[in-house]
Amino acid sequence: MKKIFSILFVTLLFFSCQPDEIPPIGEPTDYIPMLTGTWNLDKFEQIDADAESKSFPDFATVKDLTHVFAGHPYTDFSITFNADGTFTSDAGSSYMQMLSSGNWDVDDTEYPSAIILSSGSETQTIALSSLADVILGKVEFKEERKQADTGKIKIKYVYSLSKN
Amino acid sequence: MRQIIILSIMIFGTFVLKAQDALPKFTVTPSEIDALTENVVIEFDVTGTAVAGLTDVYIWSWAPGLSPSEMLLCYDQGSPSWGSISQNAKLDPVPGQPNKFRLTLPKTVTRAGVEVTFNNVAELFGVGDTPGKIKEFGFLLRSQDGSSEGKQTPGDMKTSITLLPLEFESSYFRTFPAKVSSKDVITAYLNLSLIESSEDQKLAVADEITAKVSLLDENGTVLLTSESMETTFTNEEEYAFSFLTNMLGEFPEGSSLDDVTKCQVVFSGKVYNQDGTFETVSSKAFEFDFQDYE
Repeated sequence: MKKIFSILFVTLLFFSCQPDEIPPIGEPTDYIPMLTGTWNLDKFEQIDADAESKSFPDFATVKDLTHVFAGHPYTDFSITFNADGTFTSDAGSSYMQMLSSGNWDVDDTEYPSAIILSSGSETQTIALSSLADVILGKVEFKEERKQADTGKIKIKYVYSLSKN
Repeated sequence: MRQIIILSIMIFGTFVLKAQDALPKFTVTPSEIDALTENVVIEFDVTGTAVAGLTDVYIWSWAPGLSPSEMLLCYDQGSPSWGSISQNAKLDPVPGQPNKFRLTLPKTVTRAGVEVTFNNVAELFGVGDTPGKIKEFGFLLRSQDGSSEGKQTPGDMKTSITLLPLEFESSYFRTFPAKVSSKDVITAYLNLSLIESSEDQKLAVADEITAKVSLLDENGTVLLTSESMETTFTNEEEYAFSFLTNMLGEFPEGSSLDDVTKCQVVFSGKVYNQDGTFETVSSKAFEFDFQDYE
């Protein structure tokens, strides 16, 4: 009798350890509709990558360029991504250098890491720093300036934008 | 006729001697290094220098502020001696290019009977544990016996390599970012509390500090100079102003931003006299090279 109980216990234990069925994964996030719309620049920062890697003090590592040129604020800049794949950008009085109109796309529809702007033969790739808050109407673009001979990142620009 | 021949020989000889006075050209790869950067290659072109044509070329190098200041490759043990340079200081010839030589890191040599590998510039100068001590180093190229070293003398900085800093240090002049290309936003800073002794000390008490920027080509020719720009006084007590090279003015016909390789910044301020008049005092021209960034 004791043996039967032991066998039953072990059998019960064995079946209780069966893995649960993995629930189906949700549909991948479609970022295109989230990116569609007009984005205004809130903040424009420049980072010295060498200084950052050496933990220099903040004033020698990051500079807020948003209002660095009097009368030419970078907050004048906006870009509109249309649902039909076209875009327009407006530098306003700022010194922002971006293609003014053309087509836009992302490098990977499921996991976009860059927006690609094209106008005729010209192409401009805008890296996406973070899409975590895109659902909240916030996005960060980044531009990396690399040393020509080593490919090492030397200067980073971070553009923080919010949706209209 | 004889006089003409002698004169011709003298003139020709002068040109030959002048040609051999040239300083060696060199390139550093990667182009920006600090004291701890590894896999550094310095390539020297000795064409036209005092060591041109030699098979064996040696480097004699020193770093200001260190003691001893000489590179460890220059001597095997004890103290460095100009008359008995180590074989370790012999540069590697570049195959097929008779006037080109290289110093490549890492470099493994034998010093005082022990095999040593130098991975970076700090280790080359014996400050691998305190790399912040070396900021720059000068060098000259010479024959083994030291009879051919051209117009350079040990200790001068006619040919030198400046290292990127490992720690932030306040300075009289700096840019942000520390190294920039001609297409970046550049901010220049002047810290008058660190004014150099060679400057007009009145600048330290001047008001209304402004700055002018000049863009130069590789020959040092000024292509354009900006109007005076206002500065702001920062929390770090530096005068600062920002600029983009394409907002400084029009380039003269036949030149463009593509020709620009260097930048000069001059700060000026007003020193008021008791009678209300003022005089304008200017800093020296601070010059920096633009980097090649993509």
